[in-house]
Amino acid sequence: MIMVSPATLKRQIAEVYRAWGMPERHVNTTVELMVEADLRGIDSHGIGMLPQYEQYRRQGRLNVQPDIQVVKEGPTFVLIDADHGLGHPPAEMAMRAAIEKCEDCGVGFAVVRNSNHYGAAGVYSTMAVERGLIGLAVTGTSQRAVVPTFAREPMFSTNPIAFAAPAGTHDPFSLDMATSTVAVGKLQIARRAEKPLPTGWALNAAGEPEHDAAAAVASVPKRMTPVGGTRALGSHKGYGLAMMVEILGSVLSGSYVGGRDLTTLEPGKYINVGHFFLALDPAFFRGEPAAFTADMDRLIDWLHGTAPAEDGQPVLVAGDPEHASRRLRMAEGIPMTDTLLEEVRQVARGCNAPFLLEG
Amino acid sequence: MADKTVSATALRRQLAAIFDGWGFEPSHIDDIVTLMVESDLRGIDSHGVGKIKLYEKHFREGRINPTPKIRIVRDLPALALVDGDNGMGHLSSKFAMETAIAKAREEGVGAVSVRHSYHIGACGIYAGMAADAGMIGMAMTGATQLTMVPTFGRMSRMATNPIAFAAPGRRNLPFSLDMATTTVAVGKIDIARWQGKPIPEGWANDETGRPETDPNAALAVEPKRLTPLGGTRERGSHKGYGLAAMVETLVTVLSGSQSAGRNLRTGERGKYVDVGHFYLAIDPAFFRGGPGSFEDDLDSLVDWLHATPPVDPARPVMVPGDPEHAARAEREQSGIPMTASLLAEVREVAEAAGAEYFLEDER
Repeated sequence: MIMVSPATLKRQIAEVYRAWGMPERHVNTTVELMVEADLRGIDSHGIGMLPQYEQYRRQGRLNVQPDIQVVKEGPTFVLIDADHGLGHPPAEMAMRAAIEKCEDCGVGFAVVRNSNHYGAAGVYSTMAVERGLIGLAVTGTSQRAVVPTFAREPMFSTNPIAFAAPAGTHDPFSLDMATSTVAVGKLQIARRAEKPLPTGWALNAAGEPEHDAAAAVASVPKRMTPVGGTRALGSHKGYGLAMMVEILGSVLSGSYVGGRDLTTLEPGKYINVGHFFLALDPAFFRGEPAAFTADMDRLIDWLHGTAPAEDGQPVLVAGDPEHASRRLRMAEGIPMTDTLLEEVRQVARGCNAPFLLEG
Repeated sequence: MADKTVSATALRRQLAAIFDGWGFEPSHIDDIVTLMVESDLRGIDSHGVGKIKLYEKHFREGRINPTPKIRIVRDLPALALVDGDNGMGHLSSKFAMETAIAKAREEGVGAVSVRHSYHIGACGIYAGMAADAGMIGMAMTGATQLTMVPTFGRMSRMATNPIAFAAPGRRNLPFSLDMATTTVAVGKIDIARWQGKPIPEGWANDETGRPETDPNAALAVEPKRLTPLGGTRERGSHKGYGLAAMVETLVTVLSGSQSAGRNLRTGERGKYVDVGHFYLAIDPAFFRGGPGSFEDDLDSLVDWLHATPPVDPARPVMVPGDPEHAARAEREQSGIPMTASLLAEVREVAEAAGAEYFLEDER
């Protein structure tokens, strides 16, 4: 394990993308948003995705020189075609457009089609907060890894929801959650610790709870549960939320669901992910911005003030862990495991980019 | 458990007589009872006639305005803020969703916030109004009482804060998600109590923040201590808690209403319950290719999910809205089942309102 400064990490990823031939303007945006995920402690969605992106590129499933186009536009909305490039540049462009439209109309939204993985959903919802707005970001995903309630085959993936709202003196409220019970990373942690999985994290091929972490990780495809875990504990709600995300992200934009064309049910050359973004201006509703942010502070105080079940584990508010991680990692750097370093070294070597993360 | 089935028409007439007895604005009564009975038709028994006792209590306490003047306070092409004047939430919600739909028809999106309102019945009805108009609809609301314990906490801080989302198909009935952000509704614990069964770990907590498995104990406390969706931290209750706080932000903070009957600024209970709501409509026709192409893709998604191999062939994979659509088809035909104790409640409320009670004579 070594600690890497955000600046170094950005340089490293940028070198790889330049070696791929990605246009400079896209390099910059992608790198910033990826490292932002690492700063927030969302390790699965920053540099950790680089080997996966490299695999997509080698498979010809990623266009490194996309021609990102606005397809349709109105005063409150925009539809963007990402031309199968990495999702970060079109997503950033879409959220920026939603914000600009919101600043004119009080609400704005953006839909992106023909896109790819875009990192952590929460880095887009919080762009709205920086302008004093409420932000929502949801995305479809390409892997089939989550099993609907009562089913035994995975049909969609972790379909995340991110929602952020500005506060006054407090850090912004920032929810960024997969609609599955846990992320794949949690299964990996249990496997390495040789611990059994709790009922409700993953399923076996018969649709029964899988308690063996190694089996759950090895399963192709993965068979994870929607949040709730079991029908008795509300997995039909997690499944319903995942489909809400699919409708907003994939169906509305005309993208694939679980990596497949909805009409032909076939996978295509590209993974064809869709995203959805919304920005909403609280000042319109409350008359002035400070009324909203002052009440957000009161809501956050009210929740933080909940008597805890255990001393030493206070009640948190969505975003607290990410804000804490960001402060720590800005000061001390981003921890990287030897395994990840080695994977990044391989990616760099494979495309003749310099490797900058040596000790 | 049904002791009698009652036709939707009879139930509407009965409820109308009660609201009339209470002196509600006559031109509002039809909307209120139609929307209440729509919950019962959908099988959401906890949110229709089953709420009449609570409405009576709040009305007698002077916490519901029987003659509200619902108005738009602020208006832009795609946005509105509606003041419900502390009348029944059904009224301001129907108006707000109609407003959102009209705006979306012109602008592609309509977002309407409602302040100073009350209980709305089932959230899914309002999201469904958008789907019936060919649009995507979203509805969220606060509620009247504290019910949910945040992850790591041991006391209730929010209500059940539901989320509803609906989208239209062409061949299929609309996709229709309508869910509390708690793991279960209080009604589920009632069922366990009637059956004398313990409740699973992850439905409710005791006063120390640990799982409560005795349904009697879970029901005896006020406020209730239900868990957020996920049930325990290990199984993701922080996600249900986060969603509940998202709803609270959109319904309470955005509108400037009270949180579960409590003023955020003073911490006091106000004269009115003062619930807030949030409604959103999006018209997919603005950016999908031909007319109906969104509906076709929605149909494909629904078909695809229905075709998922099930664990148990007798229990096929469903899509949100299936149980409600099935209940509605059944209950339109054969009536709404009501237990003897619910019938007795309605009789009591009717008599106290000086209204005729006639459900026992109806089929």
